[in-house]
Amino acid sequence: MVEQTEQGLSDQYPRASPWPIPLVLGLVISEIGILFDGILPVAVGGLVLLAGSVVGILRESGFASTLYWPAFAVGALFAALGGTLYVATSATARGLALGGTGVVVVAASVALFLYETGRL
Amino acid sequence: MASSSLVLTVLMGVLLVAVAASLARLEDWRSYTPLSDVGGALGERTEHGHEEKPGGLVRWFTTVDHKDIGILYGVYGAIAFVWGGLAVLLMRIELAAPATNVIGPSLYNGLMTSHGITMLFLFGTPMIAAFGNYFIPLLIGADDMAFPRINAIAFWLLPPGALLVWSGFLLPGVATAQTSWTMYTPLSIQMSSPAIDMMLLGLHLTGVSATMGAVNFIATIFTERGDDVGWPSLDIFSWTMLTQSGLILFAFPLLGSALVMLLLDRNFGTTFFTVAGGDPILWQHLFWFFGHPEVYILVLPPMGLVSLILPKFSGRKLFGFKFVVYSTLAIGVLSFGVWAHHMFTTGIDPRLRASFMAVSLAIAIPSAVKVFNWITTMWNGKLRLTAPMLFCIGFVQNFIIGGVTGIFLAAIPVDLILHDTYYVVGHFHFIVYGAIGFALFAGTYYWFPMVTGRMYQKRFAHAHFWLGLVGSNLTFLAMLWLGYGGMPRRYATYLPQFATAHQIATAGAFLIAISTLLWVWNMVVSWKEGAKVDTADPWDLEETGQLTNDWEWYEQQRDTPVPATDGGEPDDGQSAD
Amino acid sequence: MSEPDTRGRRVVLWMYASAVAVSGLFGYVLGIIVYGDGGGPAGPLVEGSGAAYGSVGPVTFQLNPVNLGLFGVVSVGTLLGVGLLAIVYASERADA
Ligand code: HEM
Ligand SMILES: [Cu+2]
Repeated sequence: MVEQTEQGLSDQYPRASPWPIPLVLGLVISEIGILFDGILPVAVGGLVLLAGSVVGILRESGFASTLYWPAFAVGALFAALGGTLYVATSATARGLALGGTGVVVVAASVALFLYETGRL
Repeated sequence: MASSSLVLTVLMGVLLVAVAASLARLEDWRSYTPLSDVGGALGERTEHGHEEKPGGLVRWFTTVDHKDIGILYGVYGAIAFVWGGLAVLLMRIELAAPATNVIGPSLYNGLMTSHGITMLFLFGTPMIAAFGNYFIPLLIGADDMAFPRINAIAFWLLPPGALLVWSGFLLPGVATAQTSWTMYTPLSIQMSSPAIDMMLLGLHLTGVSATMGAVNFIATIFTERGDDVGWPSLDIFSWTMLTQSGLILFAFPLLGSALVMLLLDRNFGTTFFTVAGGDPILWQHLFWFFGHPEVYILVLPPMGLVSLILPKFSGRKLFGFKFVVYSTLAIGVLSFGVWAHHMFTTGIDPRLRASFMAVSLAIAIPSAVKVFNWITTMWNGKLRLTAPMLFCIGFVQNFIIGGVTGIFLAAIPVDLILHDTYYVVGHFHFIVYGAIGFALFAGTYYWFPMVTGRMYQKRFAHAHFWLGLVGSNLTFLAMLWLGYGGMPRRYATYLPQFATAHQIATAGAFLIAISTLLWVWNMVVSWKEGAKVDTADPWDLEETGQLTNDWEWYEQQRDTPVPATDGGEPDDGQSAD
Repeated sequence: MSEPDTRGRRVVLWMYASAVAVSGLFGYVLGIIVYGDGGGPAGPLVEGSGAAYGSVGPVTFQLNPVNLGLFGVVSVGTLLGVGLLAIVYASERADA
C-alpha cells in the first residue's frame, strides 16, 4: 500500500511521521555508546542516526526549509561538544567520537548544500 | 578488543542501513528538496486528506495523533503494571515465611528495586499521560496536542527506557540493580553492576520523556483551547494536569541532573556524592527535592479524575469547584517545601527539621479540602454505583487512610520511631495503589465506551473493585501493624514473630493480583467482543446537565460515518474543534 | 428531591461506619500483634515484657487489644465525625 504511492508517508498522512522512532533510537544508542567505555563504534553509529533524524524531523515538520542548514548546525554542535570533551577532560576517546561524528555531519551538510542548490 | 570493535562497527553499519532503508520505504526524501519536481507536497496533501492514517503496524509506529499516542501510553502502562506486579508477587511469596525459602536476598533486592521504579516511572507517570493525551484535547476542544511530533518522541523514549531499567533481568550474566528506588549513595556508587548504569540511563530517558510531555500539556492547555473554553470553564482534570506539568517542569530536570552526577561519580571518577571528598547526604537532598514533588505529580491528576468522574455519578456538579482548583494549586506550590520530611533521621539541623514538619502538616489542609468537597458532593447526591463510581469512592476512602498515616509520619517524634519500617510502606501504598491506582482504574472504566465503542463486563468490573479494595486494605493494614511492631522495610527475611502479619499481607497481595487479572481480561476481551454501545451518552450525563466536551465530540464522531479502516477507531480529522 | 437524596447519604454513612470499624479492628489486632495481648512477643514500642500503658491527656489505659480497639473507634470516630458534621452543615447552607 504504502510502497505503491509516489509520495512520502508524512505527505499523505498529516497525522503520521516516520521520524520519532529513529530519533529516539539515535538518542538512546548514542547515550549508551558514550557512557560505557570501549564501545565507541556504537556511540558513532548512534550519533549519526541522531543527527540524521533531527535533520529529517526538522525538515519534515517545516521548522527548516532545507536539509543542509540543520545538518550544519547539528554537526557544528557535536564538533564543539566533542572538541571541548577532548581538550578539557580526560574522556578523550569519547570526545573524539563526538567530535569526529560532528565533522562527518558537517561534511555531509556541505554535500547536501551542493545537492540542494543544484550544484551536484 | 580490536575484533569486537570491528563486530560492533559492522553491527552499527547494518543498523544504520536498515533504518535508512525502512525510512526510504516510508518516506519520500525528494519531497523535501526544494528542487525536486515531485515537490509542491502541500498542494497534493489535500487530495489525500480523507485518508488519515496508514494501515497496520505502520500506523502505530508512525502516528502523531494524540488519541493513538494515548492508547500507546495506556498499553505501555498496563504492561509495566504487570511486570511490576509480578515482581512484587514473587517478593510476597518469599515473605510468606521468615527464612529464605524461595528467592535469595539479592534477587529480592533486585525485584524490589524494579518494582518501585517500574510502578512510579513506567506505570504511574505514563498511565496518567495516557489519559492526558487522549482526553485533554477532547475536553478543551483542541484538534490535537500543541506539538504532535514531540508527543510521539516523548512516548517512544519510554520503551527503551523500560528495557534499560529492566536490563539486569534481561541480560544474562549481569547482576540486577539493587539500589531501591531511592538510589541512595554511597551504595549506588559502590555497587559495580552495569545494570545500575543502564537503569540510571533509562530513568534519565523517562525523565526526558515526562518533561517533553509536560511542555506539551502546558502549551496545549494554554494555546489550543477551543473558542468556548475559557479559563473559568476549564475542566478540573485539565487543571490538575496543568499543575502536574508545572511540577514536572521543575522536578524532572533536577532528577536528570542528579542522575548525570551519579553516573559521573560511577564512571568518570567525580566525587559529588562519595564519602571521601563528596557528600552522600547531598544525594538525598537532590533526590527528595525531586522525589516529594514526584508523589504529587502522581496524585494530582488522579485527584482530577476523581473530581471529574465522581460528580457525574452523584447527579450533581462538583461541590466548591473553585476551592478544588485552589487547593490543587496550593498543593503544587507547597509540595516543593516538604522534601526533608524524608530525611528527619539523617541528622540535619533540628531547626530545619521543624520547619519542614510545619510545611508538611500544612500541606494536609488543601488535601483535606478536596476530600471535604468530594464527600459533600456525594452527601446530597443521587448516586449511581457504576464501576467508575465505586473506584472513585474507594479512592476517597483509601486516600483518607493514606493521608492520616502521612500526617503521623510528618510529626518528627513519630517519624523517628517509624522511619524505614513497614509503616512507611503501608502509608504510601494506601496512596499509590489504593488511591492513585483506583482513580486510574476508574478512568479506564469511565471512558471505555468512548475509546472502544463497547461496554466492559459489569460483573468483572465490580469484582475487580471489591477484591481490590479488600486486598489492598488487608495488605497495607498488615504493613502498618508490621511497622508498629518494628519490622524494618527492604528485607527478604524476618524474625518469626512477624510471620502472621506478613502472611496477611501476602494473602492480600494475591487478592490484588486476582483483581488485576480481572481488569486485564475485561479490558482485552470487552474491547474485542463487548456489547456495542448504542448511544453517545452511555452514562446518561445529559440528564443531569453534565455532558462534557469529550462526550460531545464522541457524539459527533458517531454521527459522521467513517469508512472502517484497519483496526482503527474513527478519527476526528480536522473537523472537530 | 426527597427520595433520591438519601442514597448519597447512605453511602457516605457507610463509608464513615466502615472507616470507624476498620480503625477498631486495626487497634484490636495491633494489641495482639505488637503488644502480644498484654505480654507476648513484642516490638520496640514496648518497654519491658509486662503490660504497657499509654495515655491520652488525663486518661491512662493498658495497651491491650480491647483498649486499643476502643481507642481507634473513639479517635477516628471523633475526627471523621467532626468532618462529617462540617459536611452536613455546609450542604445545608449551600443546597438550602
Ligand atoms: C498525597 C500523596 C502522597 C503520596 C503519593 C505519598 C508517597 C510517599 C512515599 C512514596 C513515601 C516513601 C518514600 C520512601 O521510599 O522512603 C512517603 C513517605 C512519607 N510520606 Fe507520603 N505520600 C503522600 C502524602 C503524604 C502526606 C499528606 C504526608 C504528610 C503530610 C506525607 C508524609 C510522608 C512522610 C513524612 C514520609 C517519610 C516517612 C519516612 O521515610 O520516615 N505523605 N510518602
Ligand atoms: Cu514526601
